[in-house]
Amino acid sequence: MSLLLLLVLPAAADRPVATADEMVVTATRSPGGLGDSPVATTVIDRADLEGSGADTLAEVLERQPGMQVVRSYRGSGLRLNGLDADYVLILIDGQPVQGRVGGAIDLSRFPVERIERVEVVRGAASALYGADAIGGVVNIVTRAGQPGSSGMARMGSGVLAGSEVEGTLTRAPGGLPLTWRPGGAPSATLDTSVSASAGGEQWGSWSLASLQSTPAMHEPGEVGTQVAGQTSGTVSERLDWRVSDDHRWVAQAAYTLRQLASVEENDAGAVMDHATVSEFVEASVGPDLLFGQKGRVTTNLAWSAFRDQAFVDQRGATALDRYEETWDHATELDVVGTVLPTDRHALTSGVELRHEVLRTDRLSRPVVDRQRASAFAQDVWEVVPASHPHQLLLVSGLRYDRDSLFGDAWSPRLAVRWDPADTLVLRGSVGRGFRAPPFKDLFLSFANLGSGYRVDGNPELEPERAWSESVSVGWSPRAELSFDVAAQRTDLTHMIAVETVATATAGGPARYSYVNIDRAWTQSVDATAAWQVHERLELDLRGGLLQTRDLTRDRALSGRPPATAGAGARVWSPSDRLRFDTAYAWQAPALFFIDDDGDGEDETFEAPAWHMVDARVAVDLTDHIELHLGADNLFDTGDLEYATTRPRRVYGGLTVAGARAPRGGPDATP
Amino acid sequence: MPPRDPLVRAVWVGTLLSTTACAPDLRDRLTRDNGDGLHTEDLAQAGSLDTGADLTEAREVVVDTTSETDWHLYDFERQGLVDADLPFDLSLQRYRIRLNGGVSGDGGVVAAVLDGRTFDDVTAADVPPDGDPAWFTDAADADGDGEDETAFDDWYAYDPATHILTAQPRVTLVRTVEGNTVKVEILDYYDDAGTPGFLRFVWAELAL
Repeated sequence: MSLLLLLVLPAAADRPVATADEMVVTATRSPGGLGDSPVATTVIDRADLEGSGADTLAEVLERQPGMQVVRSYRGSGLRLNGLDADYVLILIDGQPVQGRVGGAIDLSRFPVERIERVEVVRGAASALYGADAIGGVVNIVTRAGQPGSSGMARMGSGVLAGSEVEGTLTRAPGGLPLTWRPGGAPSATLDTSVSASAGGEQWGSWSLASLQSTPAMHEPGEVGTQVAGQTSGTVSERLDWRVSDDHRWVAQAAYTLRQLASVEENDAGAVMDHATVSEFVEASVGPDLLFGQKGRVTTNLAWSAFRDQAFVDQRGATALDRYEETWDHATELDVVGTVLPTDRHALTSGVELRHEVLRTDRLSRPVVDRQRASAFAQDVWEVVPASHPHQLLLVSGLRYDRDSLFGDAWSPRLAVRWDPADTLVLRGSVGRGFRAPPFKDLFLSFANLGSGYRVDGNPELEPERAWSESVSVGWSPRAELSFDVAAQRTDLTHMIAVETVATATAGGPARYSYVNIDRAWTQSVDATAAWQVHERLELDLRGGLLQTRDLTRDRALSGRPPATAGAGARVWSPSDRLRFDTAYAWQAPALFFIDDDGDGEDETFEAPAWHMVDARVAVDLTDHIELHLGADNLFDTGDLEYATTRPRRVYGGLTVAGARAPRGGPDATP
Repeated sequence: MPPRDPLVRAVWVGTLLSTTACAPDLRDRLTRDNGDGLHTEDLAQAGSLDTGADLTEAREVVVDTTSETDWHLYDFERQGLVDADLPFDLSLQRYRIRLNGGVSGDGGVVAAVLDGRTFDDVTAADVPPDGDPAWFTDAADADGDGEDETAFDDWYAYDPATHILTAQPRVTLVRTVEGNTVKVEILDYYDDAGTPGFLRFVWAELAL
């Protein structure tokens, strides 16, 4: 039965393998079996992560249907079902990630080695998660310690060998270490980490230190970079402590230092070196308590901080040099409880208190803060129980957010799941989402009189609003074969846009501000098929269609590919010592609308289609040493101008692992 | 290997985090490039009267208008910048250009705009006769935008996406305080390093 699963404490040593019984938490904010989830959830498990050959989360997600990783000089943001990164909520173990820059959380700051699995729930989920959960929610579940003790060192390096790219290992301006800037070819990537797992019957610990580096990328002959060079270092620790079968604590802390280097050349001929150092700290602690078969309460106290230093150094002059420092920190207390008032209902409710402070030079006040109090409730009703051949679940939820800056927001959601046959699952949902106006749009005060403009925030901004509907069909005619088709539509209103308050004149600069005026919609269909052909061979196919409309400008949203497709295969050797992964991804041509000649009217550009083929092989040289070799974007398609695909990369590395079995327990594996 | 006891381990990790946290101030790490991006030989200097100079020869000058507050006064006959107690023809601040005439000054300077023309193509034959309505000067705000209507009002095209100013293709005729007629073409607003606030223009007197 499904509802009682809500009242199980996940074991510290859950198998990191995706099955229909895998516990997922994101769809309902309570653990439940993936196969029983009333809301469709995509899971990228540990095996997928390792097989991808990816160093960071950005490279993992860009291979997924309906997801687009948009790279810029400030990092890699996720576009989900055509909706920009501003509308996608990124969580770490259920807690919102701090540090949006330009509206996006940089996914390349999360090393794959830190991640146990990634859960993605598409569509508006503000009924559970509040602000920013319009396009969907991406929950990064971190790795936990295993019984026994083990250690692992991983060292990998690659060479970017794309024809579209130049780069060298030259150090960044000012001597920032390990951050490359362009100037020749080819250039190297680095992925290295050391991790340790330890645990006993009652506790588990996972420690990680990792370092990733990728070079800046630009087109041959160009000075400016399309993609910033990046170095990220992370140290993290997660402790799980099972006091008793009904009482568990989880504590974790992580610190990430990220350096970015890029070069910008503007139309006036100014060449500027950008150097950015960002620091992220996340810490959380909280108990998870079960009360027999009656209910559970999970409490979490989290603190996160973000410090960003951005330095711009004009070549040949100092007039355009600038330095900006931003501090942003948030404290959040969540209490979430689940009770089973009858054997047909599971009621999950919770309260959240959040306090956030931002300090930066560009705001009209030196320090701004906001407080938000939220309460939500969700009922999962087994209208027809799972024991019946035609299970029917009805999920209804409502959340209320009270924010000190924008006021109230109500977010309802209704979802239904029906299993008309053992092999068939139908799901549908409709929900409301909202995006809180960011501090910058509310309080910005920035003047660039040298170029004749100033931008002022608008404290009267309202949240952006959305309605989102989705339907999906899952069909598993055999245990080893499954098909899923999901369709989704999101209608956005009150979108925040830049408004010209006054045009530039001989007497004064142009003045801009922000208003809630834009409207848009996106709709998509994604289909996937997974086939376990043999116990040593897995295949998958996927395809997606996307349609968008910017209703304010009466055209499609810029840069959205109307179609995507992909395929993948995994093969294991009979001895299990060799594993081969290959993946193919295709993206249709996408239209971009950019004012390229400065006449105030956008021109239309078409980014070419790309076909990306990745391949990776991993070989166990001994019981403790694994060698992996691979290539991304084997045929080096795509471009840096619009699609910003990663160019061809050839890489390899070694993983050295050692393990000691727990006392009196079975052999532990790393 | 880190300690295995959970509490000792937590302290160990806390110590590790606290010692690695806090990047240094970036300003202390980076060396600013102080190079001068301007060809200083073009920079307008203090002007003086040179009765032997051939003013019909084209002169390309750059005026440093980077100051947000100061107005710089340019006089064609003195071929340079002058103080306020001397006659001047143009006053310049950032991207703003005003005539010494109308609401902007009492020197009686007027101008006529020849749109789409190039500097070399404009000759004395293009100069409108005295009293022609093509001649005008800086006037008070007429369109209600709170700004005066100046002769050089729209010398540039403004790109709202990049905030870059680009000179419009045009030549402006200026009748100076002394009554001479010069042709002026604004070329650029940026120096060689791309720094805004360096108005570059070419001018020559037209022999009528």
